[in-house]
Amino acid sequence: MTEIEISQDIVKAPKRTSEFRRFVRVMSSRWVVVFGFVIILILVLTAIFAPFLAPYPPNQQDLGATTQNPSQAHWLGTDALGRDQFSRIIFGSRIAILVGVVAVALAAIVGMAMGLVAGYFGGWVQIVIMRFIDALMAFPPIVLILAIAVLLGGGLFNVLLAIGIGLLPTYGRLMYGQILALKQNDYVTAAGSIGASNTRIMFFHLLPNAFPSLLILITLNMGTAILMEASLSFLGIGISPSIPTWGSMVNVGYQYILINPWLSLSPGIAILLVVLAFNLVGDGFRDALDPRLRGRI
Amino acid sequence: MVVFIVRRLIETLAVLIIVSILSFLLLHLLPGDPVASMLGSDAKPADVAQLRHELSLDKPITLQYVDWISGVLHGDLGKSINFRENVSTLIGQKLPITAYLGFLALLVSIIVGIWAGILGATRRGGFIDGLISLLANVGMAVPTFWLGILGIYVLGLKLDLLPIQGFTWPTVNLWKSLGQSVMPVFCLAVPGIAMLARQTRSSMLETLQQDYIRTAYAKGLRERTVVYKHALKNALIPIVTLLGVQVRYLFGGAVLTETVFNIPGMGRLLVTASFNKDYLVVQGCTLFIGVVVCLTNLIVDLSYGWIDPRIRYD
Repeated sequence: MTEIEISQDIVKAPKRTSEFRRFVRVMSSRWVVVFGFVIILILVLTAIFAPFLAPYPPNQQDLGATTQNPSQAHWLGTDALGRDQFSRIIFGSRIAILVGVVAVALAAIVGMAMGLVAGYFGGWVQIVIMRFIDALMAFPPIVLILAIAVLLGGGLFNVLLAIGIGLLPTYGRLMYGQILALKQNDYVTAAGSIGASNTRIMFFHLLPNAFPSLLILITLNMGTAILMEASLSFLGIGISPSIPTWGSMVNVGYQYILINPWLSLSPGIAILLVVLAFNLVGDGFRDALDPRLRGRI
Repeated sequence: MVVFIVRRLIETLAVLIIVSILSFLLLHLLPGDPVASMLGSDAKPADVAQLRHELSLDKPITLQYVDWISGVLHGDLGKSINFRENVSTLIGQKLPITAYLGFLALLVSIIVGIWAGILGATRRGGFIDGLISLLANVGMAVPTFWLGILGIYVLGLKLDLLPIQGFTWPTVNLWKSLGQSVMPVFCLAVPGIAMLARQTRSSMLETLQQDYIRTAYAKGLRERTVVYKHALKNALIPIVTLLGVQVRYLFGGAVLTETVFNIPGMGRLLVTASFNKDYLVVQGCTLFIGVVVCLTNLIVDLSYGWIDPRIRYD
């Protein structure tokens, strides 16, 4: 009896640490992934400490100093209302984070639930849910989001909702595929045979095992969501113009491109860096979590 | 094979019906009265009643759908409030422009993307591979509209090399048309190039490890022959899948590029209609795009067996 316990401990303990260590090692061995992490960290810190980091309040107008070129006082110049461009970009990070987190959470929760139910129950439930997801996927995300935004009207909440719906089908598809494969495992049959309820099997046995692939998609989608919001704001259908968002800054600054090109170009660089960062970290997760690559990297 | 085709056709039909219901609901789920918001607050009651009747809004919702869809099947998507023109006529006018630019962009992204992917795969780990991976990553993250503005500023305004807006058919003025197309096509193609380069690279890396590739090298075949004749053909399946996705992204990209470059295509029609609350145009465009994407997916699925005869549908 004691012998068995000891041997279990010996087998178990080092394996756990090595798995986590392997994850960290794979993640940190590639400088691009580390670069992505650093950018995301900077983004989060900027969003949290925006009022302390920004030299000016984002909506403070200085009509005596409009569309100025970059200078000591205004690092990226000022816009048509004399607002400090650098400060507005700093505050824009808040919307980026908000969109990334809320819209993706919405898409992930609803999409995962749909895929989970469709994959687990099969039959008519699966047919209805999956064809609905196929139909949503037939629309390019930006067209779907545009149509929903027109339907609901602009505003922060509606934009988040629209982007959430736009990203939802990918989660449904991914989850559905995962569940179909996972359902075949013996531990699912075992759980069913000892009387575990459907809900229990879905949430305690299937969901945790599908999580690695979902984590990759969630990370990649944070960037996509930010890009979507920026596109929508650029078109002028997004969030109210009084809130500084990178997309609308590109749009408004475009009118003054010959006077100060930074007004339009600098927020775009912020979008590019942040989206790039999420993509790089998402790829890093994929390399570290993909079972097919295990042992090779 | 026949069973697969029939099943896939039925599936596509089901999806098309849901796509049409979603597009239908777009107008009918509008909060408030769509007729009032279409005609404005100073509309005559008679006009309101007339339009309400035209849109079948005075009937129960299932009958409304039946009326609408039978109209759609006869090519009647309703009338645009702003353009005073049939929506189907409008789409007919704008679609060729979007399709032309989209086709060029698809061509560019296939050629450049696959070439770059092969280059990366055959020089794995080297400087060129790293550079291609970096550019592909940037290409996936760069906002299309920003890239367009950057191009307009640098190539159009500063260096005065290319026209910054508009569209001309090559049959009208070849040089002008080419000049005007360069930047929009590039912007449209960038995400596709990036995606295809990445997909081709990883797909090729997997194929290049296969035994028959080693055999081909061992036979003394030239690298060119091995890569393009033996490896690429077998790496093609995931690449073709991505091409189906591309059509969806091209319509999405058109919305942004056509706005930036002021091109009178379908993307800009959709944006203008969105601004003017020209709901029937939004509805018509959305439905049309959804149907095209569905049919593209169907074609891609059916073409797998032709590309790779080893694939059996059962």
